[in-house]
This record gives sequence, structure tokens and C-alpha cells, in this order.
Amino acid sequence: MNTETNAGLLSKELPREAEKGILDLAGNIVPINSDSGEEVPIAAVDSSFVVLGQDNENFYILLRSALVFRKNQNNIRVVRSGPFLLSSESSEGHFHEMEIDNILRVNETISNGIVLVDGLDLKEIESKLKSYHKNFLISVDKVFQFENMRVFSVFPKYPFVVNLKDNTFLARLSPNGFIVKLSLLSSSITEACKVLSMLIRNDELSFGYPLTLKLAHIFAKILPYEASSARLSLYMKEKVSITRKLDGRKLLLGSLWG
Amino acid sequence: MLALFGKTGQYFEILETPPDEVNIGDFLEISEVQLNRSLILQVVDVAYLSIPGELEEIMRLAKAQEIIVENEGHNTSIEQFGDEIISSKILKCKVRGALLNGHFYRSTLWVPSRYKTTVKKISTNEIKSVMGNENKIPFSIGELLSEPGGNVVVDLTKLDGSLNIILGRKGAGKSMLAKTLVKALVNNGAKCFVIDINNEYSVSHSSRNFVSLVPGKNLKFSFHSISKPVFISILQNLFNLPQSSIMEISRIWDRLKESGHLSFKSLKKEIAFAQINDYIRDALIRRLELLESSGIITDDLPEKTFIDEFRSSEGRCVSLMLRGQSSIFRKLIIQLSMNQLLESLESGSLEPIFLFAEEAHLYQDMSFWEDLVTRMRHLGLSLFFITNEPESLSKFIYRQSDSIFIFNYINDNDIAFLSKVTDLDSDSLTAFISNLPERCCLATGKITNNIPLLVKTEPLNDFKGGFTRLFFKKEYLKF
Repeated sequence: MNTETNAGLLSKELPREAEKGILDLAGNIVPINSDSGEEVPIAAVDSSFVVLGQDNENFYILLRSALVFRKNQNNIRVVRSGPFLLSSESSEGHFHEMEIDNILRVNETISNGIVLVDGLDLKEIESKLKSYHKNFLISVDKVFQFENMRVFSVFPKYPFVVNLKDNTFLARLSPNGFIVKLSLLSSSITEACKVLSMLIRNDELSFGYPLTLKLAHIFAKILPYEASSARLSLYMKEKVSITRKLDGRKLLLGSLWG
Repeated sequence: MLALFGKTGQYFEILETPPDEVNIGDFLEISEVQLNRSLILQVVDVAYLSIPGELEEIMRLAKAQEIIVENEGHNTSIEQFGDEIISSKILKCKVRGALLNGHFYRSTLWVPSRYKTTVKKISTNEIKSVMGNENKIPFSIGELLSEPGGNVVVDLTKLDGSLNIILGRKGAGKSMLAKTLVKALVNNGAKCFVIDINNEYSVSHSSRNFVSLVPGKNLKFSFHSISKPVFISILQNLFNLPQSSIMEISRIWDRLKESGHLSFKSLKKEIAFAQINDYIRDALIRRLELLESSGIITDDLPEKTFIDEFRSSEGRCVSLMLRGQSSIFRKLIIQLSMNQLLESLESGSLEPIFLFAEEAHLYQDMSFWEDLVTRMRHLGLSLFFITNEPESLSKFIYRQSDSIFIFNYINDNDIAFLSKVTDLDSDSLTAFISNLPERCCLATGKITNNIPLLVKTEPLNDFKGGFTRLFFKKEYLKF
């Protein structure tokens, strides 16, 4: 099997992405050996929020987070927090704080393991992490995609990792699975390869996406009926009547064209 | 909480949120207090409220059963409202009547406002009180399926002179209901005649009010009581006697009658020695011997005739025990009994009778029953057809029926047939009868003031038969 492919070829295949700097392949495509990883605990963190509406002074926000711990393949524990009903002047501030708090909490709960987070810039929390826990943090960006979709046929079908730039990598975690963009605290391709082989060994992959992180999304998500319940609770218990965020486009053009 | 949600076609949709719990068959009242009017609805179907995100939540709940999920810092108020939303149901209801200024009407054109109305569950007794019907002879046929302990009290007089049908699958409880009705009628002085093909209407204790007639033993018909047309019709229809033979026996019958020597024995003897074709003689002798072997026709005058059994100052149930009889003798016995019964009713020498016919199509053709249905009011006959095959009764009989009791049916063809022949709409019928538990029936028609009720019938231990004989009985007892 051809284990290394010159990633520079991709720039020729995808000139538009290369021009825009989306595709800045610094290294070679390195296959991941999924059999070599050691047994480690996996944890995942995700949070979600919904802006329920606003009154004259505040936004009303519903927040929820889910922490998922996985040990020995079948031992999965989910800790759900919330939903918390908050009033705030900004609509996103609390969500960000909660997300960081949860990552720090998980980092202190497990050691020598992998902590998966959803699309967060890890540089932001690097200084707050206590290194003695020796966890590897991986931020997985599931919404990442190239403008030119032919990229998927360019990459190999087997699990691989390739350095995009700095600490950002592109990887396929399972044969034929989706390609995901990952951020690590290190920019070393060797370390990325080691961490990802541990992840593949210790977590299930659903279409190339780690199941532990998928469970965190599932249990953190605030569903529309839960938002309705919160609005009802706000009205019935707190006697607060809120209006939904005004949508000028919908107001002017109607629900069909707005 | 119950609230008016919408209306689609003939159906009102009511939103039900916990802790309210309304079931299929229950009644609701939508009131517009200011205008003193309300609608009486019956729930015919229940569906879950369609809410955005329901699929995700159900999948999440299913996933949570496989893994350990701990909740911390959850907001009980939001959770409570969330539970209410996800547990909410839409009750599909049919209008059963309206109350306008205190008067009950079967139908109305009024569609209530969603804003000004209140919705509440009401009991069957409340419905009966608004309808203002009094029971002349109150009698409980069981308890309401949705209101345990709430007896369904009907007026026994509504069975008088009426045509009633009891339908249900094998073992569903239709015979038990029929027995409950027989017992109630007898206790109130009525006379019942039961065509009992499985010998299950005899009582376990001795009672002079319940008489079981065993053909050939305590049921015999005097030959003298059988008219020539009846006798000829038996030979022709049951024993397939050809026309030429009928003419010969008819001549011999007349000759013996004129001479004053007509008896079964003399008829047989006269045929044996008559100057007739040998084939005809053999055909006649063979049939008379067959008739004689039934043991139910005698030249002697029995101490008590079949009709005498009904002559009592008290209520009485006379059951014709037909188990073990061949099909042809069963038909013979029933034809003779029915002829005598109808003659007595026609002449007015017998009080009105309640006739219970189980699987009527097995021993008389439908034209006989249709004729009886046409004449039943004048004769003083109240009819009960009990069958597990809905299609065995004709559409004419269904159309003429006053009350109908339907036990569980799950076969779509049975349900489709019943929806065509009964007054109930097909959606209500399907919702009601396909979900009925054992021993529960849908009662509708005159007996329930045309309000469909789901009734759990009462168990009855007074009768001997009716239980399924099982080979593996000992195995069942182990569990």
C-alpha cells in the first residue's frame, strides 16, 4: 500500500481552496495505524443554547451541556447539565463560559485520556488547562467542508491524517468515513497520528465521527419542544412575557419569501 | 387540561395534556356557559400531539435506556412543562348530541368557539341525566370500561318487542351476555325460549324457572299436534321427499283423517299396504322410519306439551338442548318447536316470548328469520341473534335491529362489513371493537339510547355450560 502521498498535489487539484488559504497543506498524508493505540479513557463535551426571546431589557437564553465519559468500550456515562434559563444582555456570552468550564471540568475528571470538544479554538483554553492531567484535547469541526467537493475523491480511503497549518489537521478516522477537520494543542503530525490512533482504538466511529462526541451533541441539544416548555415556564412561573427576536426580513417579505 | 384544538370533517379534536387521561369511548362536554349550550362528544380515537423535535427526543430517550444518564441542575419547571408537551394527546371525537338551553338534541349545526369554551370529561350517568330518560325496569349489564365500578344500567323494557344482535369472536363473551340478559328477563317474570346448540343454558342449581328440554326425553311432539302442511313441509324440505311421493302421502293422510284413524303408526301401516308404486312406498317408509328414530314424534299425548312449559305465573326460561343432535334432527326439532310457538303466539294463547337464537343460520334459512322479523311485533316476539359470524345474518336483519352488542373483532373484513350494516360510523366502530378486551362489548341502539357504550360484561356462574373443554387442562392449571 502506498503509505505516503505528496499532499502538495492537492493544491493543484483544488486551486481555488489553495488560493483562499483554506487548503494550506504543510505536510504529507500519513496513514493512521488503528491497531497501535493504547487503551485510554475518552470524554466529550458539548453545549447548546437557544435564545427564547427578549423583553425590553434582556435576552432570555436556555443553556444545556452534556459530558460523556467512555471507558473500556462499553462503559458510557452521560452527565447532563441544565437546561438553565438565564437572562442576559448578550445572547452568547454565557454559552461560551459554560463550554470552557465544562472542558476544564472534564479535563480534571479523567487523566491520560482524550477529551473531544466541538469546534472550539483550543488556544483559548490552553493557558487554563492543568498539564498534570496529561489529557489530549481534540477539537472536532464537523461543519468543515471544501468548496470544491472533489476533495473527497482526492484523499485516500484508509484512515489518515494530514497537517493543514499550525495545529490544524485534516483526518479520515475510519475507512470511507467522512473527512473531519481537527485541532490539537500540538502541531506535530507524529503526535496527531498517535492521538488519533488511540481515539480510533478506544471509541466507536459513526461515519468517521467519534460516537462519544456524537452522544454529547445528542444529549446537549435543546429541542424545539424544550424551548416551548421554557417559554411556558417563564410565563407561568416567572410571569415574564417575552417576544421572539424580530426578523425584519420575515416582517417585510412574509413567511414565504422572508 | 382539555381544550378544543380543531375540527376536521365530522371530528372535533381535543387537546389533552397530563394529568388528564381520557380513553376511547369516554364522553366529553364542550360548554359555552354564557350562551347555555354545550356539545356532547365521544372519543373515538387518540393520537399523539405532533410537536417539532419529537423524533429526536424519542430517539434520545431510547438511547438513554442503553447507557447511564445522570441529570444535574435541571429545571423542574421546564421539565414538567416539557413532559406535558411531549405527553400531550389529540382526542378525535364524534358528536353524540347537544344541550341547548337545557334540552338535549341528537344533532346540531353549532360549532363552538375555541376561545370561549371549556372542555371537561363527563360520566355516562351525567349523559343519561341530561337526556332525561328514566329506566322503567333498571338492570345492569356490566360496568363501563372506562369507569370501573360505574354500572351500565339499562331499561329492560327496551328489549321488549325489539330485535337484538349479539356479535363476537369465539370465546369473546357473547353467550355470557346472552345468559345475563336471560337471567334478568326471567327474574322480571319474562318467558324466554333459547335455541341452545351447545347445551349451555341449563342452570347449575335446581330452579323451576329454568327448564331444559332434551329431545326424545322430556321433549316429544304429539303427532296429532302437527298439521298436515307442517308434516308435508318437513318431509319435503328436510327429508327431500319428491313431489310424486308427497301427493301419495297427502292422499293417504286425508283418507285417514276422514276415517278418524290418523296416527303416525296408522300412516306408516297404510303406506306399507297401499296400492302405490313400490319406489314411492320405499321412499315414504324410509323417511317415516327416520322420523320415528328421532324419538320426538309420538302418537301418545305427552303429559306436558312444549308450549305448556311457558305457561307459568313466574318468569321462565325454556332451553332446547340440541348438542349431539344431527343437523337434520336439529332442524326438525327447531321447525316443530317454532311452528308450535308461532301458532300459540298468533292465536294469543301465549304471552309474548323472548327468543334467543345462537348461530341461527345453522338451522333455519335467512328467509325464515326475515319473515319472523317482519311479523315479530304482531306476534309478540322479541328476538336475540347471537353469532360469531357477522355475515351470517342478512343486511335486512341488521337494518331492522334495535340494539346491538359487539364484542372484539380484529379481522378487517368483519369490521368493514359491520360498518356497512350498523348505524355507527366506520371510524368509531373500528376504534371501539378492534381494541376491546375480553368480555367487553360495544353496546349501542335502543338499549343505550343510541349512545355507544363500551361495557365490561359481568361474569356469571349460574349456568352449567359455556366453558371450553380442554385436553391440556392440567398444564394450564400449573401456571
